[in-house]
Amino acid sequence: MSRAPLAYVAGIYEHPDRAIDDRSLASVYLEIVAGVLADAGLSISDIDGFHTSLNPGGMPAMADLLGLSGIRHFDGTDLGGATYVSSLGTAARAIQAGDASVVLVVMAGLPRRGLFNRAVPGPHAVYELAHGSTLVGQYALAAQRHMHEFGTTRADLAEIKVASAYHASFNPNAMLPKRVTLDEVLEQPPIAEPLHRMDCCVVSDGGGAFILVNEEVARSLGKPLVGVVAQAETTRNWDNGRLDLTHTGAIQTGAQAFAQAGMSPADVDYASIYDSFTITVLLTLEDLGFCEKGQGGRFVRDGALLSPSGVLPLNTDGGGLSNNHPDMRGGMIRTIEAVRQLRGQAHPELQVPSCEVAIVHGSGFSLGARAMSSTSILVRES
Amino acid sequence: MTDLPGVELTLYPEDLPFFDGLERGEVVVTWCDHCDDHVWPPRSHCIRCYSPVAGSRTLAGTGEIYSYSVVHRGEGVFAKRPPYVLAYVSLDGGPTIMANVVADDPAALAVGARVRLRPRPAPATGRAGALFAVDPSA
Repeated sequence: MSRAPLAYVAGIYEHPDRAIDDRSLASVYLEIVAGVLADAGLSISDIDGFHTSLNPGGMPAMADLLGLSGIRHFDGTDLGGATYVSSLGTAARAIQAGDASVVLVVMAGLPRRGLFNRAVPGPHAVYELAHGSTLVGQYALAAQRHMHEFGTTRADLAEIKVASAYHASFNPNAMLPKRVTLDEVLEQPPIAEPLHRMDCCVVSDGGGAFILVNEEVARSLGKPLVGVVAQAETTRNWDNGRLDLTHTGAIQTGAQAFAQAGMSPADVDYASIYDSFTITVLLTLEDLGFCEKGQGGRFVRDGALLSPSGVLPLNTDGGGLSNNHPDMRGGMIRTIEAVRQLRGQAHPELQVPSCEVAIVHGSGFSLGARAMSSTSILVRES
Repeated sequence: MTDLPGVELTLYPEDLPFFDGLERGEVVVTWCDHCDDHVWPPRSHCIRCYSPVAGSRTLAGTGEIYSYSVVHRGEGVFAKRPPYVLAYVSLDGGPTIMANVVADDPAALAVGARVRLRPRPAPATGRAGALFAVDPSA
């Protein structure tokens, strides 16, 4: 028996563009907020809580830009790709506490013109930069170790991209809408071995938003009720030089979220797992408990991730690997697609029948060290 | 593959034992005498007991590859260079650190391979990172 939702998702909006060349970031923000308010049936004056991560000018500049007044609850946390999945929890808890009743969570980014909203290098940086460490390289190190310990292959990782591209082929806005074969994935040039080009997410402009509301507001809007029943987050560190690259914080956040919800992985109808890289999905699936540790490579074979036929339909918009990846913070778009599935508003070919329980997981920054994890469980209420 | 660039780094007192040690051909890690354990990455305080770290220890300079990646798309001063090996090396008697690795026999590059520090000449500019060579006798 799952518990009552902490809060409800009243509105969602995903910006349709993937390359935005001649506009300000401010105008993209405003367009997204207009979109999410329209979807929810709310107006800007209803908003009393506001979440957004790193931005030019920071939180006050964004609140000013959007014309927000009377805000009682703020959150500007940056958890990298785990950002905004975490907002499902912090905003829901603020709503539970009565600190806010309508929380706007919004993000946008234009990385294709070199505008990256990211933290300055941290104290660890000299020990990585001295050796030419790259983001892809750090995830590649995790992939290589997993291959060594468990016999995972590049073809196993490629299965994740094949499923992503199949789903993206139904998404008219997807940045990479073309289906790919396993061999096409394997033939791509290496970026940081064993990760090749199609193991990596796209870099796209755009953004998205959702609005979280209390039960009273949710019931007044006459929309399908999508509730947040669980959310947990954590971080993993270099652990004083005792590195472990094959386990992620999802071990903790998954167990905690399922316990909060009174559910198990078998209850999940649809999964939105942030796919910064193919290896990110594989590790997350294992650590959330969808298969045994080390069995992720076997789990993803034979179309397991395809919707609606697979055992675990995953990222039906195409994910970061094929659809979009605005502001390098995939948690937002993962959340939006999970809400679409629960509302029954995914593409008809990919809609999971009777979709009642969805899990959303975001992974931020790196793997092993400085690794953020956030897991949420959303349900459809009748 | 040994032709790796020097990197301009902003270093503080806690960083110097390691980077100065590399210039002498040694692997030096900061050490907490209270916990009798390394502190990695180097810090001014031990993150277990929070005592100020006063000492350091010179390790044997050997270890094994925990994981590695041949990086084809380097960034910064590593951009537009031939592929190089980024690795985590588990040091004998010490932490697992990020490093570069060279294998004179490319087929010997593997997780679990034994490695030994290969001293690098001081770069023209910046600092040199830790470079290890695959060495079955290490």
